[in-house]
Amino acid sequence: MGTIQLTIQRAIAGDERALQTLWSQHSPHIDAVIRRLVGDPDLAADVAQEVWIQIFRALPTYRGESQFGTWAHRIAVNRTLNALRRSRRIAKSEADIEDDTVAVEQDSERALLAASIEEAANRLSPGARTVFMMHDVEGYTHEEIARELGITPGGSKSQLFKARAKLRRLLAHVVDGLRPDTDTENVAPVF
Amino acid sequence: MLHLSSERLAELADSEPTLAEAEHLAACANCAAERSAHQRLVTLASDERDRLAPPLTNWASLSARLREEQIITSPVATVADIVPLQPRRHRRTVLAVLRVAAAIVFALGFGALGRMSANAPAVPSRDEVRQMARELVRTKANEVMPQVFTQSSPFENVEEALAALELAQRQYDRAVSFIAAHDSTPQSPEAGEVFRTRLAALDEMAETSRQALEEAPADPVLNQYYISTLGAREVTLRQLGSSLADGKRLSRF
Repeated sequence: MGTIQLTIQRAIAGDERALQTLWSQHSPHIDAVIRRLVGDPDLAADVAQEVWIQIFRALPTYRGESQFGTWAHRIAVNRTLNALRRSRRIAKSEADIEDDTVAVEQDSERALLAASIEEAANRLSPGARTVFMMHDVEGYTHEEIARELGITPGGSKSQLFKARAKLRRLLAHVVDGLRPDTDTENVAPVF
Repeated sequence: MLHLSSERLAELADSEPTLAEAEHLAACANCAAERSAHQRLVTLASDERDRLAPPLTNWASLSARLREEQIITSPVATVADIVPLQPRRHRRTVLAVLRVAAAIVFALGFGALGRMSANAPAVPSRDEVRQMARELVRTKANEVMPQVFTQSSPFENVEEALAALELAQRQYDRAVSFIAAHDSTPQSPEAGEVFRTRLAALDEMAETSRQALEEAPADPVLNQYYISTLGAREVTLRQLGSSLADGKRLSRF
């Protein structure tokens, strides 16, 4: 039996050191995916703690059919999406209560170029951001995204291409090779 | 044919154009350049997956929750939990290496505590770290750190010493986690480089002890060193993250 299997067996038995070993080895990757999907650092920290508890709760169901990191990554994505759904439901109900004449700058087309993918992705709508992160960063297929988010594969594709088109503009200086004054609208007009 | 729409060009970043689109892309430099830009964006996004950042969680608070949830059920270590160590002859070299490695961890860890209590920067300079590593390599660890490797001890037997070691280890882990989370000592300009140096050393130590654990997975001393190294690595990672300038993120370590 390998070290990882022994560690997992000890972790299932409630051994703190084994649990800490799994957390130490995998938290940089797991926490990074949570951070990317959530965006907001404070919310991400709350979600991360819950995700780790869910991972450890689910340990007895780990069959070793995939790498532990891959298995934990799936749980992390799934639980983070659940947390985001809850958070958005709450935000929506709060927004419904508030005066809808409050001016909120929703669109970032007029904003400055973004410094990084993460910053640019934060300017996407929540749905487009999630689909982009899951597909282009985490490597999920449209079918998998559709299952996770309860949408159609076509809907996932549509969100992704819109997200990419917007990110391409926000990150023009990066993808065009440090030319921040590039006017992409003139390069490829939309018909 | 009209130019391709921005969303269609985004789609073509990782899919094939139709025949008509391919002909247009071959003839239209603007659309071809746009498709290339989208392909670079997709590459940039997939590279993002390998970008790591300091953890969002810390073991002190997570373990408290795990105890509440009864996921952690192990009691504080007692003498009865510890299996006496009977190292095989050929493992002694590995253990000796690990003792030196542990000396570095303790020296850096307790050194940092001492420095902070003396109102000095928590991180030794790069030259100090190099000097310490040189001394540890050139001399025996027990000559450098007699307080760690002293032969005269208050313990009656190995089991008692191991139990004390495990308890001390847990306290040490909690203390460094707490310091990493709460220390507001200003970092020296060299701190980032020192943290990276320490991280590289800890990676080597973790790999050495991991390999040793392949042969002796239940060995309590190896397990302790391994866990301590991972703990020190995690703390260092946090410190490295906090030493970065505003707006900078950790992309490699």
